[in-house]
Amino acid sequence: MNTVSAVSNVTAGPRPDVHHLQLQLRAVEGAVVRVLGLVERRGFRLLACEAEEVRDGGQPLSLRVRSERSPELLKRQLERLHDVLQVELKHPGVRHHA
Amino acid sequence: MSLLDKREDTSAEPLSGSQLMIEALKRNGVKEIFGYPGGAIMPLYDALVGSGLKHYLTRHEQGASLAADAYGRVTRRAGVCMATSGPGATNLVTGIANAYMDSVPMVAITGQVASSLIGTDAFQEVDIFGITLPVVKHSFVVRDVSEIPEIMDEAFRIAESGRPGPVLVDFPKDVSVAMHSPSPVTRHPSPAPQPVDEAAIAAANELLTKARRPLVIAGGGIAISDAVDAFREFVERTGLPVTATLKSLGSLPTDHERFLGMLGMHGNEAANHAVQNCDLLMVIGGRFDDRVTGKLTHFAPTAQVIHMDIDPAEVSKLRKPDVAIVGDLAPALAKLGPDEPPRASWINQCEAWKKEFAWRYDAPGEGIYAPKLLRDMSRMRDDLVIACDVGQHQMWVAQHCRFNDPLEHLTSGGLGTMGYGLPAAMGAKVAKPEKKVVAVCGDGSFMMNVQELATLNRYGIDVRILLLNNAMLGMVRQWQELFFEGNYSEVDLSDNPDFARVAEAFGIGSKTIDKPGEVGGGLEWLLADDDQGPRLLHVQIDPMENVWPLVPPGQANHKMMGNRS
Ligand SMILES: Cc1ncc(C[n+]2csc(CCOP(=O)(O)OP(=O)(O)O)c2C)c(N)n1
Ligand SMILES: [Mg+2]
Repeated sequence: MNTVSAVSNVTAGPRPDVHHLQLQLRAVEGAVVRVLGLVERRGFRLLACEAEEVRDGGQPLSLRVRSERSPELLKRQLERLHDVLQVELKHPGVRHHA
Repeated sequence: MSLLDKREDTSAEPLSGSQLMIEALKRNGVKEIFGYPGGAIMPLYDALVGSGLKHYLTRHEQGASLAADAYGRVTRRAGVCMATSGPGATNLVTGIANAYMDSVPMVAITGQVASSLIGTDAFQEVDIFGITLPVVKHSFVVRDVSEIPEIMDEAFRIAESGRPGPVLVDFPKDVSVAMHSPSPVTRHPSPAPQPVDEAAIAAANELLTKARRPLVIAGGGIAISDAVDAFREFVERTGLPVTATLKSLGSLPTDHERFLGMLGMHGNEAANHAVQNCDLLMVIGGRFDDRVTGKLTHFAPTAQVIHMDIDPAEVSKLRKPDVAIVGDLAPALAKLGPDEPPRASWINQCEAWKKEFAWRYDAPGEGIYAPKLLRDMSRMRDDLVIACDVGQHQMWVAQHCRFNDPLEHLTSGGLGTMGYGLPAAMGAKVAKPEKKVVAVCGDGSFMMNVQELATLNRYGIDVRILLLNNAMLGMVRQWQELFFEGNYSEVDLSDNPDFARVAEAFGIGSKTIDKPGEVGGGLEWLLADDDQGPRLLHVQIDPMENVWPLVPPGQANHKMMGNRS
């Protein structure tokens, strides 16, 4: 279990309420807006978003989001979208301070 | 036989996009459509003529989408509605959202301006794809005529599979007239069903065996996934006491000895006490809606939870379960059960609550008591399908009507759409002509889709309308009485039109009653097996009547207010 001692101090380590998601979408009309819309509607603030070049019909999308809500739940809600092929929740890899 | 079946290869004669659309609808088993024409969708309406598809012209696109919703509920196949671009499309939105919230299969087709005009603010252009993004399971813009067969097959598959929902297909005008020689359609085999999660079943069975006070909440998923028989077998085998959500009424027959009634805000007190006191809650195809749980942190405070649902995104959304069983309900239910029947002390306690909080119909007052009328009506026949509007009357239907099957109760649960009742009854009657379909309407709600009386009349759709007129937006008035110190704001409808005359003007027979002695005769007339077609029984009731009991918003479910409190 990660213990984050300096929650309010951003420089001390990743905030536990900030999450990084790496998605693979079908490169079709509406896929990106559908994802972004869902993220905000489900209570996550979008901090950063990068859509990479489409390759092999797939659209890679990486998101950094912030919320008190469960990122695992967000992941399942995203996976439910028809154009979402894959969602990876990158755990922030909290650094432990001595 | 469809045109496509006749073709052998790609040298088939070309069809227009609209013809391809019609073929795709037929290939997917569609027989009836609800819709309304207009400029951008005229080519599709042109192809409709002589196609063999039966189109019902509603008098407002919202009527079409709500009728398609009900059609989808009772058939468990996608109900289809269509409308033109712009205002036609936006008018469909409420019905699409309604289907989304209640997990109803639907395919909605909207005309769109020609591709070259999209994005230019053309006449009757709206971004209906964008507008509906949050309320569809999926959506498509058909950009090329060659995509039509595949998109449509996909639309139906998505709408009807897993947790069902609405799919929107936006159809630009140029695509609908473009010609294309389709290649034979390859049907994708439906994916093999997921095996039941045996580890989760074992864990659940252990909890069931250890529990001293186990309780079931039957949710809407039981009906949606066609698991009513499996659920009943489970209840008979295990003897567990059962409560139901609004959408699951009828999963167990209302009069079943183990059935404690609906839980939640306007639930039966027996059901709410059982939930608050149980030590194991098994939620079958339900989603912990706030109208069900009351204050979430106080909901079933002493219970461990087994949550069964086909949608993994429902697990831990609001309440973290101790065991989650994700997948189709019926095969899992067949494997579930405790080693021993529930303890007699718990069953006795549930029975005592049930007795203590049984509905009473000895209301004082001179006028017609709507709960009793509804109770009497639903006991007059076994084959009633009741579609209702939203408000006090909707809760009275849920509390007092008897249901033998969840598909006998059509109610707008998630969205709470006033005006659902009449078009929903229409959609259900078209889908199930052999059933006696009653729309139970509120006077406020009725006016929201009153125009559909013209549709009933045109096609002779034999819906029977019970209009409970309290000359009030009753549910809002009740909340103002209880939670806003009686500061009544914009709830008075005492200047309602004469509903009996309104019905007559649409060619629908009507009767008005306002005395308890007239109820029996009125109901006989309403439900009669004759060939007089649709009719409306207008019932005048007390404007100040309330729905009891009630859990005040934000309170725990056992803090119920009753008419005796
Ligand atoms: C389209 C829509 N608008 C507003 C509401 C809010 N609302 C819920 S119940 C209600 C009153 C309904 O009045 P009526 O149909 O007469 O039923 P009653 O409560 O009087 O039985 C209102 C305004 C709603 N649910 N749906
Ligand atoms: Mg009313």
